[in-house]
Amino acid sequence: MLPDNARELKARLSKRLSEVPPSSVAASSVDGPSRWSGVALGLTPVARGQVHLAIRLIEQADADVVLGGLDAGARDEVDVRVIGPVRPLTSPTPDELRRRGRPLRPGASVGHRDVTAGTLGGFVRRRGTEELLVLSNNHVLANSDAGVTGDPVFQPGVADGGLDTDRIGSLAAFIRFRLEPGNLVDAAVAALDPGMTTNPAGYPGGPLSAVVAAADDTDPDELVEKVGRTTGHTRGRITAVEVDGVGVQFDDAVHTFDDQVEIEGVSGGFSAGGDSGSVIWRSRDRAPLGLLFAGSTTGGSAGGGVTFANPLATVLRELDVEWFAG
Amino acid sequence: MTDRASARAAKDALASRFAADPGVAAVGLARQAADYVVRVDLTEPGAGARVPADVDGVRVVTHVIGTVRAL
Repeated sequence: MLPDNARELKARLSKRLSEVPPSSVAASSVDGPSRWSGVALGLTPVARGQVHLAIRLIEQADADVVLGGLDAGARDEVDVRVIGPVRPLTSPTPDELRRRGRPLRPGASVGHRDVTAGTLGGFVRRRGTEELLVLSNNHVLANSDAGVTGDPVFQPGVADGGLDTDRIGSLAAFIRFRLEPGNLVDAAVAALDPGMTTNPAGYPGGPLSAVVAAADDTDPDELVEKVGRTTGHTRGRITAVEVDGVGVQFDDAVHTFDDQVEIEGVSGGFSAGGDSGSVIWRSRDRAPLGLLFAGSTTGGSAGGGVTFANPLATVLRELDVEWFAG
Repeated sequence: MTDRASARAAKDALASRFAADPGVAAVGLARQAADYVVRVDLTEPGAGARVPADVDGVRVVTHVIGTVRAL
């Protein structure tokens, strides 16, 4: 139909629905067929100068109520889809991420028993197995090589009040630091205790891609995002790739890393202490690409310092695990 | 136009040259319009005087980022 006709139909239908208040339950419930649970109306183009009336429903049962007000001719020119409840795309606040939270979600405070706190980056699993592992840094889950397999891991981390009763699992594997230059990753995984619930798809905006960006498919100027325990959900821009000779000050030593990704925040800092372990993803296709582990306090266009990340593909290869997007 | 492979060769040369220089925090690849360039991160501004403006025709840019710490 012509756009003006569709607009008129939309206005008529909208007015009729406004006279029938929505129910908190489905139209087929005890409230009877005259009530509905929610609808959105709009126009959708189908050809040059031609549109259909777009009707988006929370439940299929609403269709009878909504379409009941249309004549047979109009029913042929509507595009009806059931889309379920619509929720705001909110991001968790840092306060929420520092609290105890079950199911476990990306961005949450986590840490080895003897570490202050870092970030739960995401979930991985060993090839051919179903059990999920928590992914973060060596310096978060393995106390910078000081931990041993089986050590307890808390959520939230100790700095956020984590206690023995907040145990979620135990250190399962980590990549040791080399004293000589040429480190590639700061990475570790923790196995979950039986019955621990998880939400691997719980990133701001929904799940990340199941396909991890290849290390050589990461370009300068790409826009990226992360969610971390200290600064929450932030956006940034890759400022350099294949970065070598990155000397990083840890508690007791300086370790040098090669082939890293450098990022700056688009407005202020991209990260801060406690965000280590965050998974970084590419905004354009939500492909996970990095594991955040270090940063500077100066530099970057916005003056908030720059952040360094291991390529996630390298992390997965070194740990011999695969990404689990949920 | 400088492609990634050419810039990588220049980066490798600079990274080796400044591996023991405490004024250089990192050496990587960046973009300026269509060109790849070598980006040298400095711990302090004075170190910039030791960094060449180009290597084998590949442009070199410097940025001061201070000290890098585990987060």
